[in-house]
Amino acid sequence: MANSTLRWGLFYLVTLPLLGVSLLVAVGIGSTELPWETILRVLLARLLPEGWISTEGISNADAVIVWMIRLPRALVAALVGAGLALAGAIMQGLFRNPLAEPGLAGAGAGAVFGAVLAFVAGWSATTVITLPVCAIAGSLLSLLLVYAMATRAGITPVSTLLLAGIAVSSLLSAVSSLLISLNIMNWQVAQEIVFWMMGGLEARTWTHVWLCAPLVALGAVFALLHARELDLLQQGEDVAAAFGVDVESDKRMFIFLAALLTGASVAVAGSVAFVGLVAPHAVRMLLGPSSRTLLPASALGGATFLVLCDLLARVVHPPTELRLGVVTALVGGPMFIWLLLRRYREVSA
Amino acid sequence: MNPLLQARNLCVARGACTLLHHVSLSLQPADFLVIAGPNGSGKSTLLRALAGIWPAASGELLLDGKPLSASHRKDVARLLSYVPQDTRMDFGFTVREIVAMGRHPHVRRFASETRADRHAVDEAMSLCDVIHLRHRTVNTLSGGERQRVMIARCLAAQPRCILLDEPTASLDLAHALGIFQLARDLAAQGCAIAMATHDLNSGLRFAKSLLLLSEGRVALPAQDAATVPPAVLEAVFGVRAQQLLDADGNPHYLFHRPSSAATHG
Repeated sequence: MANSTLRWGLFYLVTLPLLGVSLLVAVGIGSTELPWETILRVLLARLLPEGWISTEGISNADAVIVWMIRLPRALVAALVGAGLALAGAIMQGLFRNPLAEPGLAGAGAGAVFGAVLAFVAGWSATTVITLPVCAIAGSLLSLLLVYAMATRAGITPVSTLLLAGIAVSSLLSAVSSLLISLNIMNWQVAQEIVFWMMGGLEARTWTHVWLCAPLVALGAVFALLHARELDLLQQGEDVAAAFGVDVESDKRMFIFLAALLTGASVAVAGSVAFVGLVAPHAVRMLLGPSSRTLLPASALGGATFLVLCDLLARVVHPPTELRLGVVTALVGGPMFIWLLLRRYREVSA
Repeated sequence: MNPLLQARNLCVARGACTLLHHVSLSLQPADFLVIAGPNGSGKSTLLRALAGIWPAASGELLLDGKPLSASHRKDVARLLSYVPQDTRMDFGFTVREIVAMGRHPHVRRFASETRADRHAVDEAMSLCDVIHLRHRTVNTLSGGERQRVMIARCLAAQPRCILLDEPTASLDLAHALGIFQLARDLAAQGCAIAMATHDLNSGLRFAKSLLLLSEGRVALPAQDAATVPPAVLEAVFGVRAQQLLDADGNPHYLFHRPSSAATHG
């Protein structure tokens, strides 16, 4: 007990400041070099009541770079990281499998399909919000399809859900590829889609923050309120039912939450691999599987990881940005392999 | 006294297949009922149905006088608890975390663990002799230890009725006897216990009554464990039963395959 409380405390003691510093560095570093004093003054002038901090001598352009360009981008990275990690933790618990990932039940491929459709149909060019809304709608609709396919007489076995999810995901991915290949001659659109599918946060604004934040917050709060049910579902559905869990309705809620979180994340960041898989997995190894610990810690870990990855994507090879999904896979992949090897050694030892 | 748990003409179906036909039984406080029968005779199905996990296709199931299917799951879970046969564990929860999950029916959504919860969890761990394992993760435990943890989790709910599905299936002699003794002690404290088992001799020795199932039907309604006719055991299990009496005059059985009757008989 003392040991686990200590680990818990240590985790937050390291991760919370790390997230804060990462956000600050993400706002501080970029193609335009700005003195730290300017950056801090712009941030504080906005955050503190008017008149406390003077913005004299700071050009409007500098203020826009800090407040309208870099900060929303860093915040979107944090929100997406938190959302994907939460969705991953929920799915891993629900499927009783540490290798489950957020988009497993069709939500990931559905979000991509919705976005591709928006690009191809030209809707994405109309307003900045069309693309994310299409992606969220795609993820929820494909989840509904998977859920309806897997449900018989009010009962949804998770094994059937998994199979239906894989089937619908492959189908939607194929249709997305078909749409891309049909439009490959229109290089402008095709390039946009391909870039989007590799994940990225360039030109994200406060609109994206406000679109994503309430959904991630909603998902986080609901998941946390049902953390005990998620723990019990991991003991098997019979056990969960025996201890008072309304198994079918709670399963439905968790799948919906995971799809919502995945949809909201993919909507503003494109496909970002490995965060939803690695963050909960790593946190579980450090702090144990209890959902009341795991869910918030995974969210924090995922947020920190993605802010750092986005920072890396921006600074490694300027002026070209690396795609965010490529960076997370390049960083997360080896991390994941290392975790697996460690686990394998523990088991065989 | 009103029965705590009463089933009348309970039928259970999964898909097109009827697994349980017209089973009736009743459990009073302090009862210890052993449910036996060959593989596939419906023991696990009966326990799942009695726990309200699998809905009954027809018949009546009353818990404390009220229809179980109409009650809220948490209300049921406060009165009745269930230990499944499958104790698969994928994630490394600690023993204490597992046992504390048994408090779920008592804990309100926004509340954290109260002193009463902690007390119930500690007491359940002591009763099942797993308190020294409380910081261990369940996937490092032996089969016997894990089974005791599962029973502790169900005791943490402080139920008045406990259903156990072959809790001694993978246990060595001493641990198996320990589980039977624990079940008898709990019954002596007023708990109603129903246990499915293949260990007929221990069942007859520790339990008050025995119910036999065969092909989804009651082959022998619950009756005093001391007066079970050997002929019924022979018919239900397809074996030859040789009765022996121990020093206290309690019956024990040696079972033989029917074909071996000629050679040994």
